[in-house]
Amino acid sequence: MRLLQKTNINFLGVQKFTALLSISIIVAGIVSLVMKGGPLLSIDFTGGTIAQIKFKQAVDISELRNNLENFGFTNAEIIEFGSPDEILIKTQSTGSSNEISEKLTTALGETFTLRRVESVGPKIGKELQKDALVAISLALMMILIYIAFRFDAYYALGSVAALIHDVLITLGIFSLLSYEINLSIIAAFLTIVGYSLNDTIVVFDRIRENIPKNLKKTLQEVVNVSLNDTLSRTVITSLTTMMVVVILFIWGGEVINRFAFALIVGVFIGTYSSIFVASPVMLYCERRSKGNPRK
Amino acid sequence: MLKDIKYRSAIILLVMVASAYLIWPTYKLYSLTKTEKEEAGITAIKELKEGAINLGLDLQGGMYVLLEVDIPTLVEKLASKRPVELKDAIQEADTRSMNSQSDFFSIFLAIANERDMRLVRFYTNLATRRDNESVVEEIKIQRNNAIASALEIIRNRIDEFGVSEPTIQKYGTNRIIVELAGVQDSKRARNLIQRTASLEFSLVLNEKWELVLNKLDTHLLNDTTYVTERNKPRNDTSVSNADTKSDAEDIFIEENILDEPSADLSTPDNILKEKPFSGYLRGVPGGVGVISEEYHIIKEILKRPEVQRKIPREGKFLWGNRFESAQDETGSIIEYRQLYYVASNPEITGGMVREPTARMGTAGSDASGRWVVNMSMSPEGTKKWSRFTGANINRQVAIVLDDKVYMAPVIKDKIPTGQTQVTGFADVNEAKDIANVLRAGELPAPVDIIEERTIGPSLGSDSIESGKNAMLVGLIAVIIFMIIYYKGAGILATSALLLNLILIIAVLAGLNATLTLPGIAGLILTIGMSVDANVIIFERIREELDLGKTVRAAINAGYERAFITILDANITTLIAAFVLAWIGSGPIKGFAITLSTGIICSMFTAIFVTRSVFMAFTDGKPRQSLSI
Repeated sequence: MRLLQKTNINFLGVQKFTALLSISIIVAGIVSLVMKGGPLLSIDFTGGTIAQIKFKQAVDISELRNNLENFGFTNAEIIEFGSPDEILIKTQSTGSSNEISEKLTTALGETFTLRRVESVGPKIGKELQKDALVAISLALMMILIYIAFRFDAYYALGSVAALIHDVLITLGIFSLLSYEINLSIIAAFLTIVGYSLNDTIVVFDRIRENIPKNLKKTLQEVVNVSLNDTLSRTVITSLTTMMVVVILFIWGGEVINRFAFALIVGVFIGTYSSIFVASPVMLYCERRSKGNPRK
Repeated sequence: MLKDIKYRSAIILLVMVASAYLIWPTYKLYSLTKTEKEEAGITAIKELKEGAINLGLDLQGGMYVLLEVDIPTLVEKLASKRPVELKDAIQEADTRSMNSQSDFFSIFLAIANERDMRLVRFYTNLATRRDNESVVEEIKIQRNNAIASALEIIRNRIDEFGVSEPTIQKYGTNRIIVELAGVQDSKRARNLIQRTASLEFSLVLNEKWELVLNKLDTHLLNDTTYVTERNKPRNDTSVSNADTKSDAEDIFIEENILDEPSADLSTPDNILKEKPFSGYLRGVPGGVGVISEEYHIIKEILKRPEVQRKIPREGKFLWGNRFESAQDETGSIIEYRQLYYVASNPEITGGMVREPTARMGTAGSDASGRWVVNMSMSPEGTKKWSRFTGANINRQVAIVLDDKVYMAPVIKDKIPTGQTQVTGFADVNEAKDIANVLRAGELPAPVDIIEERTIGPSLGSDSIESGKNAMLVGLIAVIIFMIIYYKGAGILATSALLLNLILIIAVLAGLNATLTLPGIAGLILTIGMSVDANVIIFERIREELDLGKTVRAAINAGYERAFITILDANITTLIAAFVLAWIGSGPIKGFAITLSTGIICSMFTAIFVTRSVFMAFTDGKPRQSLSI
């Protein structure tokens, strides 16, 4: 069975359109980020406490909110978590699980079980923030060096442009949806980086192989041929990966739900960028530096 | 040699046998029922666990705590003399290091140099050389010793608490990670870990109350900064808790204030105009107390450096260990905390105490029906205690644990034996835990909990359940897709995928790795991504076949070309995974480890194993067609 017969799509012909599309999504994300004062960071980075509570039956969140406000949870954010009998309380103050549980017991009686309490001090939050930034930049840098070494600098620039594109868009989408960035989302981002690269490298590898075979063609034509050659692989791998991340999103449970969501966005954007961002940027950089006037 | 199918089969067989060997302990461990585990005995289970994949705290439930040793307090404690200028410098260094990249010690040294302080004067006990640099170096060595002993003490305390296989390890220079799997009562565990357990028996200086109160009242009346601060609206002062450290108690107290908006019991302003400090104090059963609404005000006043300077050297203020309630003269119920003024030099310290044990108070005694901690004393302690009690009959002695007064009994008689009983505990667990921490010894400095994650066991098993389901559904979906799309070759890729999962589990078990929820996610992601290698190869073979190559040539060309692509693509993903494993902690590390193991194993199964099968298929007779 074959989904795609031998294709001959002019991917680079729609460059201008895709560039516009990418840029507008990125700009929308950045606008949202600026308006909200940066990404919405979870307590992992800002310090604070979250408590996950399961009630014996479904509860009315707004009633609960009023009730808890009278018991010292003044600036707490209270949201439903997965099912109507389960809620998540977030506060900026750091407190231990026993304080939270004592407060809740006085407020609500013995109607619930405390499923999870995570409390992070502000000092640790700052450190985790720094670690996350170091992790992402270090990974990007090492990947850049590896590609520059295995291919050349233009390929490296193209792939890193694709990566930054992917992370920016995912970050922007998280900001637009007001989803929080926590430690596991950072892990998801790095996985997206890895996945997107995987795709990009497969294309680049084909370009590298096709260049000596097509000496009469321009680089742009070779790139187009290579994108078509690898298209069915790109689609199938994206499909299998997408299948599992969607399943993870649906069945994986509430705790990794956002993580799976980041991966869904990432797999989609990663596939797109390996076709419409990495190669065009690589071509553009190569032209700029070699002084080829033809656009 | 890799061209020979025999060698290839041998390698594959070897890997499979090794995998089975590595997986065996994991399989056995998780297939045992509870009673079987009990029968097997602790050592046998422990052995199994050492060779098995362990579940992370997020899957089995438990408590993760990151502790930081309170370095400023330690540095202060190490000093032989503690004048205000030293305390000031330490506090300044602490504040500055919060917002700076350099560590406490280099800032402390800089401040000492800036202020022309000769540290050797305060650290005569440590100094080997006289310059500030060497003194700070010496303090750092002492810091390392202190952390090593804190580690040991916490380990001893937790051993008595009875958690199976706690993890207690040093992290960085002044932090300690404690992981307690399956702990239900996180409150007790937390108290147990955090308690400094410094025990002191000090004389209560009741006769000095008047003198010290006068001093503080006069000081505060003349202190213009205090007067202006106090004249601000009330609410302001109550929130002015600009304490950067998370003081658990403060949160709790504020809540108490919110609880009682009813009658206004607070001290009238006209009294405070004359007595800005002592006006807050009230007579309560057993001494002097402060009502809960005003507790933080007094706490703040006592924290002020100028106030501290006014308190005579011989004494210090200490709070009772909890809030109590009583009726005041007007008949309304007040909640208060007792305040004591005690001698700053304790008579007896924790080091002199022997064999503390928690017991039920004997019938007929004052402590009948309540939990008590009995203790005896070292010969030196016994002598001191006997002399002290003899000389101070009818005076009060405060029994102070971690700077809180648990009880302050009146000495009725000389105690010649050193046998002493402490009461005042909330419940049996508190008495037991205090006896435990006294036995394990005093922490060299207080420790702060700077990160805590507690997962209930039900959430953990829910996570495992949903992880399992997602994995199963994902696996089935990918298998169905691959078989429909690639037919015979799809079956091959599917077998490679299953083998890959087995290999990953084997490697994780061999590494004695910990499986976390993100780890399971990594495993699921691997299912989707690891077929990629086969997709690349199969697509390539199809292309080669389309070009008119023979089956054998197409397979060879497909694998050869695809190998480079797969290698490059996987190495870049591996780079990202390694960085995560290196920098990330806890669950993130778990995710990175499963992901990178998955990538490496998939290279073996998707390339080496499938190729061997193709080789066996085309070996000897030439094939005309390929199911792909």
